[in-house]
Amino acid sequence: MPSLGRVAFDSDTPGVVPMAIWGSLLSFLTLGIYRFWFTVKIRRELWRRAALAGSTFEYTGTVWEIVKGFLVALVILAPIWALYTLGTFLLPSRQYAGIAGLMTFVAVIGFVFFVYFATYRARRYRVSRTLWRGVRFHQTGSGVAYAFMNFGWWLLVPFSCGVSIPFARAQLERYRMTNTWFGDKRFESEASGSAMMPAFLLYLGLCLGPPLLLAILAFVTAGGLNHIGDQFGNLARFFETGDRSRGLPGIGMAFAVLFLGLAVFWLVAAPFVCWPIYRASEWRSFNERMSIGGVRFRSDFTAWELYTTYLVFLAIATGLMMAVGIVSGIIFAIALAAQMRETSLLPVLLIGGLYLLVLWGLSVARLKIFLFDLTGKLVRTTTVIGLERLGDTLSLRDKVGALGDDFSGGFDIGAI
Amino acid sequence: MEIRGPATYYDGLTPRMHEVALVLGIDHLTIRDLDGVLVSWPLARLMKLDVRRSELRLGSADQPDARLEIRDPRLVAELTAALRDLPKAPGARRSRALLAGGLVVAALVSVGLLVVFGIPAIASQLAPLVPISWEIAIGEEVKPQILDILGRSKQRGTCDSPAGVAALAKLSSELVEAADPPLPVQIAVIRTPVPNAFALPGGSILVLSGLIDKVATADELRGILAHELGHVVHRDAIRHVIETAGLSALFGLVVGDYSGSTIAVLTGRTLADAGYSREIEAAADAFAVTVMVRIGRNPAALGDALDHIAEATPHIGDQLTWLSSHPSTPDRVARLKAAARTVPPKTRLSEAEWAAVKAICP
Repeated sequence: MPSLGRVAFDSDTPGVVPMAIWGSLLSFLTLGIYRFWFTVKIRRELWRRAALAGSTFEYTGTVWEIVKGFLVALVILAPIWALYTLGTFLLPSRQYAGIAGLMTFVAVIGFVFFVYFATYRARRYRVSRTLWRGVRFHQTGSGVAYAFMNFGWWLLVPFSCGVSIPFARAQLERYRMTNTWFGDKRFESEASGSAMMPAFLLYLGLCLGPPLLLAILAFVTAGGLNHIGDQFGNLARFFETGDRSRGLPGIGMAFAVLFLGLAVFWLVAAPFVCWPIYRASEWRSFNERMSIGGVRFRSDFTAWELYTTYLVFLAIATGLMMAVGIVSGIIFAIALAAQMRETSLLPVLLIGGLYLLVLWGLSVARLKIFLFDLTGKLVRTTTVIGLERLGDTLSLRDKVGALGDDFSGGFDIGAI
Repeated sequence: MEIRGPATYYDGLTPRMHEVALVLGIDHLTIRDLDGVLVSWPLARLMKLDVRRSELRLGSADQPDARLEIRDPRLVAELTAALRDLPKAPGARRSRALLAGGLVVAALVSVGLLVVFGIPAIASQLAPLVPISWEIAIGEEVKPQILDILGRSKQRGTCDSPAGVAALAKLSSELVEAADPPLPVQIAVIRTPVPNAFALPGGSILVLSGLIDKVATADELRGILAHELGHVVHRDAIRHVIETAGLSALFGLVVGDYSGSTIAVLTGRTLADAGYSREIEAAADAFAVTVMVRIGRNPAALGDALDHIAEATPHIGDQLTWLSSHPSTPDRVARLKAAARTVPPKTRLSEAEWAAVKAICP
């Protein structure tokens, strides 16, 4: 009977918020130089709070490695920015519009390529700096190949009307996981796009269904296509000549416009709002289809846990911005009452300072809620089945990467 | 006095947990299990990886991934105290702090050097290489942004009363001819009470109507135009664009923005500032003197113009006037007034023509 073990995550020990507050403050005061140290601190803390079978994970990366990655990223990105800036400057000119457009396009493509490449390499770095019970993980595979794969899948999306997306995500997951190792044991993944199709179709249905219904409803209340044409004609005539003899669009039209507005709103908002439903389902599926040396996994993570994460963050962000809005208003009122000159610097400085405070608060909240708390939820809902089968793993002290690089250490692509 | 206690040991080769007993001696930390001594770590090579009240994690530089975890509270406290004087890693303490401090200083210094010397130097090298047609295109991109900044709350518009335009052309054409700029020069007057003038990339010179109001004689206006022509001839505007782009890229870097969006945002906004350095302004002044002398005008008129602008604008924010970027320091005015005229002037503007220029904004 294989053992069942939950992965633990320590969310109770305090220390995250103070660390986030001081770290972001110092990073700001040192013009960003401190952020390398800050990143290492955060990672060490994050890794340490996760424990499997009583043994915590350890992050063994150093500041210098991240600095090196940052410098390499610079060298790659500088020409891309130069190309992009020049392109945007030349764009309005008739003579160079073509070349400028090409420059800008190439720069954007280059940047996107770099992001995919850097994401893969950053994962490789962090995986290879992860230690559990004295044995390291590592990752093989090619960042360049990964970037090309992403591009390829993106090209397919319009042709397949989006249906290729689950397959894309599953294939990329397989590529990542089968290139991930613990010691001399390799992860396996049977992540499947077809297994995700029902969930994806549900997602598509939630995103497209209501707008479609609303559109149909709009047509019906407007009284059909011909009727709409007539009503718009009447409205136009009224605005031009004031003639209302043929009647104006009635209440049906008003409702139709309302429904259409709702439909458009849903079309824009739903893909984001409904995404957690799919993502959580996909996370569970990928976990179940993942294995290493006979060890299997299971996840009980739900979409609701993802939603509460976002809602908490939104609540904090709204609270912060409302507070700032109120204080700004008070400052303005005082300034007006004191009859300060329009160009007086003090209110502007104060409000600028408040804005910075908001940014600071938001970055602390993001770190606590999205990095630590969400990771905690993901980790705690994971069960490891048959951990003892890893008993005969041998450590491979692999030489990772020519640079021991980490592009994302000093580079914010949203992954830590 | 030896310290002994239970711990968990991982040998860094397999994930197997070993429940061990550790013995902290004088210069070794010995790890033993029921069968005997597993390993002995020299204290000189000991690494303190994680020191907390509830847990102590140790490693050894000799065995890269091996770990010793101590969870027993009493033992943690004793060991922490005993190992307090040991650095976190062999040779780490002083040199690591020094390295970190050194890196920070080096980073700040290199950023500073880049800002003050590196980026301006690169911009100076690149500016002459920019093709004229490119500069004109960039100027077209920049002009609406400048107009936007200038005419935010006022009635924006080019002043184009026909008599004024003709008189201005007559006044400026001999200047432009004497200056011989590499770019096609177009002079336009914008309606706004701020007394200022800009040379944009691409050869456009914008003169604000506030300046036209403040100058007393045609020669003063000539002096200012000659100065701006100096900027055009020296291609200061495009160099400023490159410099600004470089500085905002550096700023984005330091802050951690890698999308390059900082460049786009900052470059546009700071162009209206046109805060050239003293050297660049002095060079433009010198050019103005040369051109004024060449066409037989009094170069000191530029100094007079500066005086007139200074006395007339106490209520407008300093950063907007010509003065902010062209301070009327005494030695500058003196230098301008000392230059002598050698050739008699060729063209003269009649009273009516000068009046037309003054009234160019209907």
